[in-house]
Amino acid sequence: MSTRNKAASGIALREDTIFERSASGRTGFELPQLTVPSKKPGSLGRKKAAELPEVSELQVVRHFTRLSSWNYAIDLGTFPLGSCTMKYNPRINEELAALPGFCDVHPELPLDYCQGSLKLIYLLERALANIVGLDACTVQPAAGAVGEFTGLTLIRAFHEKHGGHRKYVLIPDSAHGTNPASCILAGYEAIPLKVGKDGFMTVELVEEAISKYGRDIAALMTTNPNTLGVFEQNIAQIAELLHGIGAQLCMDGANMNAILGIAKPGDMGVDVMQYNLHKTFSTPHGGGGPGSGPVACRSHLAPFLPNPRVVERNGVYQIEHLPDSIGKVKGAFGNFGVMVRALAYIINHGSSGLRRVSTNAVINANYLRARLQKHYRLGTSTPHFHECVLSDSKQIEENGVKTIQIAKALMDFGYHPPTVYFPLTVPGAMLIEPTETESLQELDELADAFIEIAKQIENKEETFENSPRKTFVGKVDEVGAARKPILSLDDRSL
Amino acid sequence: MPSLPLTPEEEKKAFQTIGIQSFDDLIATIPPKIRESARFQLDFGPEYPNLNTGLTEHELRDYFNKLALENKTAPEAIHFLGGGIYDNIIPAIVNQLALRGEFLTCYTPYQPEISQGTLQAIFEFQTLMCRITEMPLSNASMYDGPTSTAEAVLMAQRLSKGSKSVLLATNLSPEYRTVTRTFLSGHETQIAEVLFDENGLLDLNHLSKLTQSLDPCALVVSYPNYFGSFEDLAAIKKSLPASCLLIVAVPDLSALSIFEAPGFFGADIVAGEAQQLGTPMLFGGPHVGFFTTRKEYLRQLPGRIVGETRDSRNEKCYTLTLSTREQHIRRDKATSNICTNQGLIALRTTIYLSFLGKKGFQSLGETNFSLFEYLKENLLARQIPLKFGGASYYREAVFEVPKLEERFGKCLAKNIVPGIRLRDKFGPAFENSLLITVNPKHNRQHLDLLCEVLGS
Repeated sequence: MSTRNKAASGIALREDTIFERSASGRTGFELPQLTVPSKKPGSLGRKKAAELPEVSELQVVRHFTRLSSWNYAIDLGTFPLGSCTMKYNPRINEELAALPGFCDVHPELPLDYCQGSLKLIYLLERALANIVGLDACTVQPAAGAVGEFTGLTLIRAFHEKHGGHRKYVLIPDSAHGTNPASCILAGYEAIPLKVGKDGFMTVELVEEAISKYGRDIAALMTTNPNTLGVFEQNIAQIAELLHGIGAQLCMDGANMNAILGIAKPGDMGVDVMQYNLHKTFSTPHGGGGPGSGPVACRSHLAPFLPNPRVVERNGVYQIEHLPDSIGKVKGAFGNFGVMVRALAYIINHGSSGLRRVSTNAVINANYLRARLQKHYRLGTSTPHFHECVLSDSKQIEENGVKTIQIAKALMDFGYHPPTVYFPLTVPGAMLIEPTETESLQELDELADAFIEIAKQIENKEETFENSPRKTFVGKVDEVGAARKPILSLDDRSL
Repeated sequence: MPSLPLTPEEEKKAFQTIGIQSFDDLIATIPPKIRESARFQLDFGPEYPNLNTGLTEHELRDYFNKLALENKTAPEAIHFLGGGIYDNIIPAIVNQLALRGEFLTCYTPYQPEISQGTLQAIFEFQTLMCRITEMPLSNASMYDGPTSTAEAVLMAQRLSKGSKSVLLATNLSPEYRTVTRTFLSGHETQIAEVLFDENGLLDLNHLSKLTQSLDPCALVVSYPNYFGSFEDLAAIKKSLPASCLLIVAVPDLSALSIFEAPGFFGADIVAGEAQQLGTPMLFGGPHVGFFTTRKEYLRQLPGRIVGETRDSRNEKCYTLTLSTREQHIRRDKATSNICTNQGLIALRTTIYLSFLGKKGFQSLGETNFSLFEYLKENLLARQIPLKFGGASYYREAVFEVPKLEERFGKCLAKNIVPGIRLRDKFGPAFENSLLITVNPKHNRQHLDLLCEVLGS
């Protein structure tokens, strides 16, 4: 079978930094005419102006348009990046988040000037709590990692109020990198748990940890479905064990895209969880943010949620400050623009549409798995949900070709590589999450590319040692970048 | 549902390929009890008490337009709000370029060969932040000013190896202080606040008392401070012991267009907010934090960094670098847990500052400064004095407004929000204190109107 390769060549224009287009005295931007006398600061005045570029409007437009053309993006093609949920996000979201009635709202406005924004937060918090079957929600955290920190800090505040501080958080070794780092930030010691050979936590494993650390365990932090894309089938029993010693079950909701309307974390015994609105609820990734990491919890943790809380009284939206609150984890009310998109997405889909998001995401991942498993070894034989994990073990054993080479080869076929070398529990892991927004045709084309690569390796036609070749730049010397760091234009001459 | 392309025919084909009879076969590993109760209801008030089928695009637009109209904004209302978040004029090209799908829908640039656009833009952002703050090293952005400040304190702690305390200026924004306290709540760190003097500026006597008794790892001040006035950073730096880092959290980066930068005075870390440069207020976010510091602290810097390098064809290119500091590599030993940050907003800032350029940036600062000077003179003439006389200001200051509650109400009756009342934030001594802020959208008429209503 031969693959019709999606990656063709075309014209891409080179472009130096914007500073290198500068000409003294040129400006692209006009402020309104000053209607008051012009004044300048006295002794504190800046003597040497900051060297910003001096360019015209067209130069700015061309510069950033050229730069944009060097990026791969969902708008260009399939983005099978496991655990990141790189789905297409309806463009109406962008229009709604840019409404002047939302953009021009300062968070210090009197409350009757911002009823629309307060209502939006109220509705979104309620909807998010309902979807996961928990009692309360805050949308303040700026991203998933802040959400994790917030959840853990709620647990910390709860234990400090009821019985005293606990030291440890148990974290399965399949956890996201942010999980251990968030534990440390929240003042806990992270205790790694080795997951069973099928890729999920066993009851014995948790019992063992409990007999060792006992009531010093504050919580167990897990992702479900976990980072292998596998459902933690013992989760309800594990929750019971934890609750038996007064510990909490904390869930990283990065993979919520798999279980909307299919399983509620509240029914699994989860006490607190964070969402990634920019994954499940549709904010474009934007080259690394902004995101939003709301946290939902059971009622016993709710008194500690970050301030201020938005409440409704007879159709009027007000704010309240909780006396036992952990404080604040982000300026103002959080990433409001991301909340607009999330609420739009939820209302656009309705409850049945949201369930269909997850069923289609699961079908798509399993379809890809079915097509690829003859050519790559699976990272686990357990059924997958919204993502599947392959290993490079077959390719390494037979031809010495590793995951990184397969990943770079995919670029030459016109795709962003999957998440590689994660989860850490699968050697040479390739974590593939196609999402529900890809059609079967697109999935077939992606599978064809994967298979073509496997065949070329098998037939010893290629090792992809020097891939990628067709990309705008060749293989990037990442080691050299770290050896002699040039981190701003002014470092070049050093 | 337009975003879900799978047809019933295709679903059948997929099931065959997978080798299943129905969807339930795929989720058989979920215990039945959990599966059975998984459906949820969405309640959006009397209009949509049980939203099962979603709204179409047009209905959605209608719903949100109505919701947005429940806010009272310009031109219906004018405001003089600031305190860390500022209204600003956003050139058309900022929105249009930042909405390009190649920027909007790309991923964190972990794969440099197909992410050069984002990477180079971040490299330019880093250069801009270094040049504006006069610091040699910048990261790729933080969530916002408050969290960036909290990260600065965490970094100072790592560098100090042993100090168990940190000082925050009381005249730092209350929000920055609260967020910093929350981020440090898991650590055994004593947080002490340095009082301000009769001019609203950091009390240097209190500062030296605290540095002697506490051995703090850092002092956080703002420039201008929350009351709008400029601290004497050189004097503060001189009075700190060598082991104590000076962290300057800048609530208003745009002031550095015409005022000397913290780097000029020997700051060790400059952390803060860049929203006021091309990003809407949006009820508090998404905004973008910046973080600049000294070269020697590179290994302790939180967040992502982009560096210049070469590709296999020996062409100049860019990549994320020094990531061994980060959570996905170092896990529990990482310098921060930050992962997704503010890439797209940092891009907005880069486009905005490139468009303004050297001259435009200066005239932005001069516009704010001139508008404020005009307002100040007029308020003074109407017997509305500054709360703190002996200080210099950029674009906002605290005014003592006689009978504030009554006059505030009069302003609201004319849809003028005259500023931020400070009583709830700073206590009874601020009973009549109002933080009034100008922004480049204001003109003389706006300022005259405010003076007239507030002064009568």
